[in-house]
Amino acid sequence: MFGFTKRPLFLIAWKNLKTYPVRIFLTTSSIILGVAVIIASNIFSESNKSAFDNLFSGIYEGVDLVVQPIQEDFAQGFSGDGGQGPISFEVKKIPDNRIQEIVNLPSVRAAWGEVLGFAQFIKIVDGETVLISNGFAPTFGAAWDSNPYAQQWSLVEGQPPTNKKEVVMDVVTAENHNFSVGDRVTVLAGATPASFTIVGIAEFANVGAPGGATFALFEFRTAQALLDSKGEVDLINVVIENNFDINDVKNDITNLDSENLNVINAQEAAAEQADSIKQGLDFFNTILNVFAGIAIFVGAFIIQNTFRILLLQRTKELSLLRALGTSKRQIYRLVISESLFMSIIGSGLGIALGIGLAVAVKEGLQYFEFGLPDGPLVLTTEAAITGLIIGITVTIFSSLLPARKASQVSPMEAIRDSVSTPQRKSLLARLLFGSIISIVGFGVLFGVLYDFLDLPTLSSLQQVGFGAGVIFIGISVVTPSITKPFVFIFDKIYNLLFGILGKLATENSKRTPRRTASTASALMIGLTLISLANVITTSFKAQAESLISEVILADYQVSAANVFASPGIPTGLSEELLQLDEVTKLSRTRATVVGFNDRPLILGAVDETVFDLVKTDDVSGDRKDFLDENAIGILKQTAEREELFVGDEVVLTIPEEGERTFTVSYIFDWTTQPPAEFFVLLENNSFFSDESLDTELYFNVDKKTPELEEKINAIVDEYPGVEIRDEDGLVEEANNQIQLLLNVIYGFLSISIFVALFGITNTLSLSVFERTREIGLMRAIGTYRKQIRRMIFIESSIISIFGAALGTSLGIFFAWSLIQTLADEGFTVFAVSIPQTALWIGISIIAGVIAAILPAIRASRQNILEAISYE
Amino acid sequence: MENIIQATKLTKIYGEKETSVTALDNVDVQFNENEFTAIMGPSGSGKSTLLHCLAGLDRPTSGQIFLKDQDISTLNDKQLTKIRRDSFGFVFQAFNLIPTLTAEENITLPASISGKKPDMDWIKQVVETVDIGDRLTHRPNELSGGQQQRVAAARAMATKPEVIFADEPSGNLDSKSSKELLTFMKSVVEELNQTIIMVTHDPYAASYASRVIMLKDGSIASDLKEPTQEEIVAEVTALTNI
Ligand SMILES: Nc1ncnc2c1ncn2[C@@H]1O[C@H](COP(=O)(O)OP(=O)(O)OP(=O)(O)O)[C@@H](O)[C@H]1O
Ligand SMILES: [Mg+2]
Repeated sequence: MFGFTKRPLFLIAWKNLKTYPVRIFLTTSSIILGVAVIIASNIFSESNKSAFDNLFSGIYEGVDLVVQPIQEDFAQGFSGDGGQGPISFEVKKIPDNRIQEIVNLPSVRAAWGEVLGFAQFIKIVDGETVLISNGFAPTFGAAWDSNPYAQQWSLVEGQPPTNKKEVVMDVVTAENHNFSVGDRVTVLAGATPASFTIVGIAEFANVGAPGGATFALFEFRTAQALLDSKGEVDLINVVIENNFDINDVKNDITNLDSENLNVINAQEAAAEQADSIKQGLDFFNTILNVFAGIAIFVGAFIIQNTFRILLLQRTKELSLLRALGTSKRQIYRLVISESLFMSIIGSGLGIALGIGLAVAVKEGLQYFEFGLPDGPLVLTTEAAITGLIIGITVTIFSSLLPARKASQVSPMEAIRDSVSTPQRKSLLARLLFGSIISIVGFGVLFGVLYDFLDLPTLSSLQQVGFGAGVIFIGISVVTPSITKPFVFIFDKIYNLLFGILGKLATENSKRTPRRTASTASALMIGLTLISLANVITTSFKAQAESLISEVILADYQVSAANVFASPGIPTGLSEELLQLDEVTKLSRTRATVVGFNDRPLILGAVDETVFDLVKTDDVSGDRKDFLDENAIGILKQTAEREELFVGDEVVLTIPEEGERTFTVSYIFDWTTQPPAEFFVLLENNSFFSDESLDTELYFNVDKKTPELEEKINAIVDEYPGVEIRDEDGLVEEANNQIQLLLNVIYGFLSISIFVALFGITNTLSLSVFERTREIGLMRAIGTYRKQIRRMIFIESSIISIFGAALGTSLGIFFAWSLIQTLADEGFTVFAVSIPQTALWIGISIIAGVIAAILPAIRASRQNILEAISYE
Repeated sequence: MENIIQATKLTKIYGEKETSVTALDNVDVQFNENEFTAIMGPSGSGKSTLLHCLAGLDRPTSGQIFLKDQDISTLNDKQLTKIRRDSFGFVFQAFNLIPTLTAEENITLPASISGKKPDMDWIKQVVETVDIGDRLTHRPNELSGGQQQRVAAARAMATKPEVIFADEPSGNLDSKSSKELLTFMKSVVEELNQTIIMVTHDPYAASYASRVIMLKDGSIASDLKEPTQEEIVAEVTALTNI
């Protein structure tokens, strides 16, 4: 059916594969996994992209034009990412009487205003208030659009809100937190929480809730009042009459107030917004692809190894073909055709598995309520083809060397009787070659650390990375020749621990050093990356710990619980805290976006006491001068960037205030994450005093006691969305964040360990196969099945310890080099987490044992008579 | 002489129905302690099958095997393995030794896997008898075929087993090595009070035994006591000609 008959070798290749499905599975297992990861990551990001596309076109469903207020120049496109704490961003809004003016235009069929702001649902669980949010997704409050043309939200159940005591909840939040129509719920909007009755459950543009955000929908006037928009709206949606040109209508509306109104095409707006989010997702996709690359790289090692193993098993068959007159070239082609078939099957299975993986990941994320928009999974043709091509190329490339070796089999091999044992070629050449590569790598790397070599065009970090890569390759080349000395260390220990079984296992690993080494190398890659990540993060943690205790002088720090969701700290809290006799010193921090040289910049306002509560280093100027009216303090980095010096004048555009001139009086270094770039004294600047929210509070108490702590907590508890932490809490929080990141990295890297497992299984299977007679003999003279299994497990542990030890040492060394390189940037602490390192070595050994289960069972079930019968 | 191992109504059938082969057909046989017995017969007569069943390497289709008073035909794999380890010794035609272990380690292997301390005095005695004392630290691939078989014989005896089973132990050896091995096996029975059951089709090898059992088509055809080589040859010729 394939029409290959003119090519007998192709036919043999195909038949071979059909006869040995296990062979296909063994060889392709790693390629299946690698391709699966590529496909899964691609599906995942593509699906998210299309979901965001749907989402944003959903937002503007049925809308033709969107009327936005023109923001101050500097605030245009400001992303709000200004460091810690919410920034009270003085956005301009549109007066709501404008809606009626727009509706009155003959070309407009309908128009309605939108009000959007922060609002968060609060749930009481066992007497404790719990703020409802999905991870980092924002929590919104909005006005319910009662206009018949509005299609964003549709009620799933109940009624629209009609008074200031009613709220409609998004369906996802309602389902996740078991709310239903008629329930009462507390909503935090603005500074004080209030109680509402849920009158309806609504769905957003058929996707539940957008991007995992939670929504509280209020009656229009209520929304305006709660969301700081009295008499205003954030934007106006417009539906035009059929017989008008959209551009004409655009002009009509703009002409109402061309200074303040910006009218855009709704579909354009949708595409624009979707694009900016998609760019963010691309980054995520890149990370996934890097991990897929690692899996493929490890896979290549294993494919090569498995090919060599399988071809060795078929030495007789191949040499028979040779004896029958098949040329070396033909054998080579036979093997390559087999690998081609396998790669196609493997990549195909990989794509299928990738789809499954994507579904699993999606379900998993949904389970953890990780807010990404819902939508169908999308597999693009490009992705499928890319997966196929990568799978096929990697497989074929990995089979080139083994194929060459196989083609060199002598026709005599068929006539010899025993199972062929690999020839012992000298490993000296390898040792030399690998050592030279490694030395070059070390030279490049230490060249940076000890300042004796500086490669042009590479930054020191790049040079260290390059050196590390070269060292890694060098070590990979060397490993077969250091297998024996390494296993030598095991000899004594394993002999003591496991007796003769230990001895047999160590001897076996030494028998085929090349195979042992390449199997271990696959594991080494994963472990190198894991221990690199481990040491780096452990060091960062240690660094963060010492830094926090050094720079936070305050006993307590108060901040918003979720900087993306909460509006800030109501000013009442600082007043209440100051009334406590035990509070000795307190500093408030506020922030707003101002314009400087036509760019947005965060201006912070602090109390004088801040310098006693947060460690700041003087750079120039005097702290006392900062107290003067019109004085401004500037962060060291900002001063350098903007070339500002003490005595210079800066002009800031302050929202609703206009231009104000300040004199630079103090340049300093804020040693933690700074809340702003420019600072003024809070009490000197009225536009800040009016502000109803603080960003952060720092305060000291005369003596920390459990009673006082309780008292403070009781006060803070009245302010939902506000979190209080002491030094331990800060350290813990920093550690949690780092650990979270590390866990994600671990999760991805464990894929490479998983791939390496298959390599160990293959190698051990071959090892068992080669020792059919030996194992049979051992069984004949009275070795228990259990003991045979144990022997294989011990052998596997040698491989995995070898790989893990090499990988861990390399990873620690690379991490050390990296931290040395970053010393100038302030990374000074190098710390290795012994428990985590031990954990991963332990995991590798357990993984090795798991990989050995099948070969071990096979070995122990070996038929004794077959093994000892002599033909 | 005491009866050490005995088979009653031993039957072994390979395969199913039409294609089945009866390798052993209701064999009743007993072997004596401290005796060197040879099992002979034409190719396919069931020699190896009998040996494998007696040694607990294969299971009979029906019938029983008694090691002293214990019925070993009903034991499970684990129990059989333990009997092979502690009560039997083995010498096969080839592939007798683990290539990664030295001669000495091969000899002490059964003791090692049982976790017991080998009886070094006894082993020394055995090694002297086999005459491989100077080769103990060598690996099998550094030994000649004859030396390998002698190391295997030494291993078979190292645990002072009740019975040593040998399947064509001299089959791959030249006449000089084969003579050395057989002399050694005979002396082991006579001087070290061991019991050996050996399969062979070589009348010369069989002549070292004090008893020769002839098999034909899975049944015992004759049972010779202290036969000379000529008597054995005559019997073999008689059997093959029928
Ligand atoms: N595993 C098996 N499956 C099927 N038949 C078998 C098997 N082993 C042996 N036989 C058959 O049983 C019979 C006895 O075989 P056995 O190996 O015991 O003979 P033998 O006397 O040892 O012969 P040889 O001198 O050639 O070694 C033969 O007909 C053989 O073909
Ligand atoms: Mg036989």
